[in-house]
Amino acid sequence: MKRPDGDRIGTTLALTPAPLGFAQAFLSRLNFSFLLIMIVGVGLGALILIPLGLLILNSFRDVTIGEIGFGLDKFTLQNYFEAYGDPYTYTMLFNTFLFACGSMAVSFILGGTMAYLVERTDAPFRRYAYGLMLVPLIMPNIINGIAWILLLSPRIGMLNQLTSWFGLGRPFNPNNLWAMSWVEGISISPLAFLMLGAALKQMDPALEDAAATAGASPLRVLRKITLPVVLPAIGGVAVIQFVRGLEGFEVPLLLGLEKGYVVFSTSIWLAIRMTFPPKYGLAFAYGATIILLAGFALILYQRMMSRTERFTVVTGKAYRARTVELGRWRTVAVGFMLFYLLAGIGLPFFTLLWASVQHIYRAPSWAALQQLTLEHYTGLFERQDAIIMLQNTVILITVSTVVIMVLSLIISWVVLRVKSSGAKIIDAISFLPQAMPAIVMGLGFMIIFLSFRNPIYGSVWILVIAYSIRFLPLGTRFTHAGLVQIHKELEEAAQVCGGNTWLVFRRVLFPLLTPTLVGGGLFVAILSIKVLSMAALLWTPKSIILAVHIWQTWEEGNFAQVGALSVLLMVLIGALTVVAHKLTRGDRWMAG
Amino acid sequence: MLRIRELLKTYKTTSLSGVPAVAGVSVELRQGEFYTLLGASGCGKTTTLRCVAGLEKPDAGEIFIGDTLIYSSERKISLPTHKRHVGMVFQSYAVWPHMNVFENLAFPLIAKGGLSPQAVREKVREALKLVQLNGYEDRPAPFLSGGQQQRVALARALIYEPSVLLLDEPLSNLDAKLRSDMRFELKQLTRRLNLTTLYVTHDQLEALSLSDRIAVMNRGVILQEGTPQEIYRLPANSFVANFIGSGMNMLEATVVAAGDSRVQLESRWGPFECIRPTVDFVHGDKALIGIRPESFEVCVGGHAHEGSSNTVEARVEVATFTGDGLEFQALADSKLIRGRTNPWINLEIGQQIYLHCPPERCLLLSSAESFKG
Repeated sequence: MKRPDGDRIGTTLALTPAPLGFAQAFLSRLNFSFLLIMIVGVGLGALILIPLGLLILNSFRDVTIGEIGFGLDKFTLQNYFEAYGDPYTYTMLFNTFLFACGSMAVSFILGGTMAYLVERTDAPFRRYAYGLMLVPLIMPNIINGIAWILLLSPRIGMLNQLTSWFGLGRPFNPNNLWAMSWVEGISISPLAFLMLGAALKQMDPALEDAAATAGASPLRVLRKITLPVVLPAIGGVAVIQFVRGLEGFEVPLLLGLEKGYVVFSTSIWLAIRMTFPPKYGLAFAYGATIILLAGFALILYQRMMSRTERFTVVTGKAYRARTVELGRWRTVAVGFMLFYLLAGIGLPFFTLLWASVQHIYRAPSWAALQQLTLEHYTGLFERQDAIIMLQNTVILITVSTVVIMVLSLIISWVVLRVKSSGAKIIDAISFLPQAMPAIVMGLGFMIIFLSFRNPIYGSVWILVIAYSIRFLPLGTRFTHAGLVQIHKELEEAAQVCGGNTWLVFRRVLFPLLTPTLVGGGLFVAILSIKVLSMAALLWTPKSIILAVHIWQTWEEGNFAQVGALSVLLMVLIGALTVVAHKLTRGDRWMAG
Repeated sequence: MLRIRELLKTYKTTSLSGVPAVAGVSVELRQGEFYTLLGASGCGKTTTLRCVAGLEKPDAGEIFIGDTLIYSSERKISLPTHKRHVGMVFQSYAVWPHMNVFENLAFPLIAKGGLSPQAVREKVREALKLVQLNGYEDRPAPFLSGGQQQRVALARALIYEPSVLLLDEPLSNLDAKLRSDMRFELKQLTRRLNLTTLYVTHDQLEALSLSDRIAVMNRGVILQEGTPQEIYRLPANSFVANFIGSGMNMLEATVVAAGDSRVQLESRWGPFECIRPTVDFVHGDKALIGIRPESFEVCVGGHAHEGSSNTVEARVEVATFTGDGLEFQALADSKLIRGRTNPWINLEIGQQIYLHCPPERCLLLSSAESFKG
């Protein structure tokens, strides 16, 4: 989440001659860039801060559905008493904590090991690790969750079937915190891999070499030099992974609810969608608590990152770090990578593929193999609601992606090119939705559109708005990186030739940034299409989208159709990822 | 004190044959000697140094420190880095950022063990005094300037009195002013402590001004070893001649007579007399005469050297005043000569001048050699 810092020397304001009157000075500042800052700043502030602010405000009010919104009356602490007077809440908190820590631990073990293998050893195939680590990132959690239920289920689970063949009984069960942490941990492990890998890569190998020449044994070097230097980065990753665990919705929904393992995100959903009448006040109190937790985590993260930057004093020639020769451990390393390949994509994909070609779901067997069918693929779109679902999904993804990329480009330009204290604030605000769990943003927008009569609530457009804001930081990550690479003098040359700001934007920046915008846009689409939590809170039969559709089909027990949908979606996402990766030529999709 | 014999190190590359980074390097450092490996990047000098430190593993050869064999491919001996008792200063200084100055300096003492906390404190204080950083103990490493980091790195390498000090381009990250100051200090310090030092650099000025002996390296082999004066005055081949100094003039010539101490040649610029080098020349051999720009004596008006050997008549084409000198280019028999003289001479464009180069400044090189950059 580190922002590349661009060259911030201003051009437009610096040329103003000194002895101008105040009014004149004010007018001369009213140029395009200044207006842009004002518009972007105020607009962005409103779109991001109002939902969060309203959520906090309404958590302190005792309101029924017609009164939710901007009112400044009926203040009460009742919602918090209700939430924190109930022992159930503490169980929920404890579950959330265990789930977040568990998935963080899994992601550290998987991602951290991979990062070490790639950066510090001579493990074979380590060059393909980046491609491999991309897979769990783009894999929708809803699909992953379903696949792992099919794998671990005591009755029909493939893994249990396998172990029972070997006479080991049926040890696996998807409905517990272990399994939940495992599934969530796999999907967030790429983040740990990328951030820990970057920390190892940024570290000057001479720091380790210097300790060795000073007489420290390899173990002492690892303990006293490598680990302490990488420690802030490890802390930063831990905080981020914890927030991701806090945000996780699909896995607790699919795996946890059955046996009552409720976490923050699912308890908000339960209070609003599964309780009648909905307990809005309770949901708001939970939501406000999450904002507090996430805000605290954000501050902690910034602290740690500023420490890491202080640690990376990169000077001198960069030797490649000495690689640890694995020797006979190479087999173990390859085994680990194979294991990751299986857990990350192999097993889930095979399971869903298998489910999709069965008439009615059966565990793999010779008999089942002889009755394969493609009926679920052909029958996918015969359902009446499938057409609406497709329409909605296409509208949601295209509109929100375009909005995100346009806004991102403007934000990045303002942040990186216009010298102004306002620009820094815009940068910070635009980053905020990333730090907030999606369900909280969804809750905030729900409040806005409940507060007045409008046709948006209940339509797909509320999702478009919520998605556009929630995934905005993903877009700015790409446009920031793209814009930094375009030297400012290219723009200045066009200005000197007489082009005004708009012309420069249109004829110089935009053409140069097209690959970034298209590739980044594709990644934004891929990473946002898979998110269920906001839609789960806001959907109606009229505004159903793909993620909800898969989930509903699963709830109906139609495993085969879920399999077919998932396989198609995974193939589509895989193809788009390849295109997007080619266009952006980088690993900036790490935002997760 | 340090003996390297027939060191060989080949990096595995994707191509079929590996590229030898170090191809049979042998050097021997005397106690207290300042020895420099000089060469362009990729010549194998850093690899050699890192092999001595144990940070790279050679493919073949032997390395002794004192009487201790620390590496031998034949006897399969390879002492790990932390047991070699060498001190090393890295190009990036590698001052540990999570420690303050005291902790950085104390680290090697604690790693080696056997000292009381009081003794450690005392040694750190002394080491800091040595590099003129008295009282900097509590300063966190990220708050040190480049020059201070360099001093800390040096103090950290000296504090445990290593048998050999290894310096890997330690001055290259400093700005020009600081670099010349540090060069001076480094020379004084190594002399005063009688340190055996192996120094790696691509900067000939550093090499010439610091070293007792220099080894010029190219493509993994040592081309010439000698004192700074020998390297400068009697380069063994045209690569060394071109690498040291700048703008060497190369003149093709034919040997007409080879005496015991002198060689007579004939060239397009007339007759030349040179000191006889180690390489043998006989009558009729083609040779190259290398003349450094600063070797010429410039005669403006007089005819002191007119008609005598080792003298070129030329016409000034370009003259550039650089403050500490006057650089010029002159045309003689349609061949350009680069020259350099003192700033008190005035040269006009088009002016006829005589350039004289005494025999001891004419470097006689075999033209058959194919050392080219």
